[in-house]
Amino acid sequence: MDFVTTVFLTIFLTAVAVLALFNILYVGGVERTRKQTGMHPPTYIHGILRVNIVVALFVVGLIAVFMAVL
Amino acid sequence: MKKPNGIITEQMCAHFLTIPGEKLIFAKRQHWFILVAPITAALFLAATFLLGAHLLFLIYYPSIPLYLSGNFLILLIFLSVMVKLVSDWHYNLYIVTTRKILKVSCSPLFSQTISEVLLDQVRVIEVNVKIKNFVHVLLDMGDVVIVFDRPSHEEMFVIANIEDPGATGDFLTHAFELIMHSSPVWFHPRDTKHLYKLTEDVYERPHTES
Repeated sequence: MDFVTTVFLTIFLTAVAVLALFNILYVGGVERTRKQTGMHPPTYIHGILRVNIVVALFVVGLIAVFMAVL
Repeated sequence: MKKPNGIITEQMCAHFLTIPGEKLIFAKRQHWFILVAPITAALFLAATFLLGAHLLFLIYYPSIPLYLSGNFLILLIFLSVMVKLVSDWHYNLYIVTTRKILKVSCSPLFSQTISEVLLDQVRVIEVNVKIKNFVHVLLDMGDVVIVFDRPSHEEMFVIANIEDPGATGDFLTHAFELIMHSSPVWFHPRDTKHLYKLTEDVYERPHTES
């Protein structure tokens, strides 16, 4: 694996990991707001957040595999 | 009186009815149209970055792993931004009850602001409806400005960018008339048979002897 690919993959891996963490924390934030306001968020918000977390974790794994293979 | 469009049900706002005997008059979110500009900007930026990733990782520096990772990253950023925009809009609402006016502005994980005006501490002197431009007229979207007169100064409470502002303004005026007439401080009727909406503030002048 050349230097440029390594740098880009490292940046992408960090960014996707941060996004995964953000989405996990955001689920908690939405739940806390629901408790404080008594208002449920739209159901699709939870759906998109779950998709985001799954995709982010998948991409973290994918980049890790790329880094290992290359 | 006909209720305006886009009203949120009382069950959703029950958490904010805290004073005994308090009843919900109406609760509303901002018009969905305010989401259009930020979502369009996010879409445009995502498309630009996808194009950039395509050029960079397929033409100038061909690498399938970088192309795939980059596209997934852009997609994730876009979806996260969308979730935040919609959540912020969903948890940003105006609630008017028989005792107070609330602006609830919550941004999950980031901030929470609840502004409250107690109606027995103020007098409502104006309810203005403002529709700013052509697009807002077409979408029936605008502001309802409630002007309060406190003993020391005037203040405004703006219910901004809501659906059906005209009917909301009429509905609020009617509701405030009923609330303010029963207010012991500000609305003493001159005649028990004929209730007046407005009363004069009469202050006694100090007696000075020359």
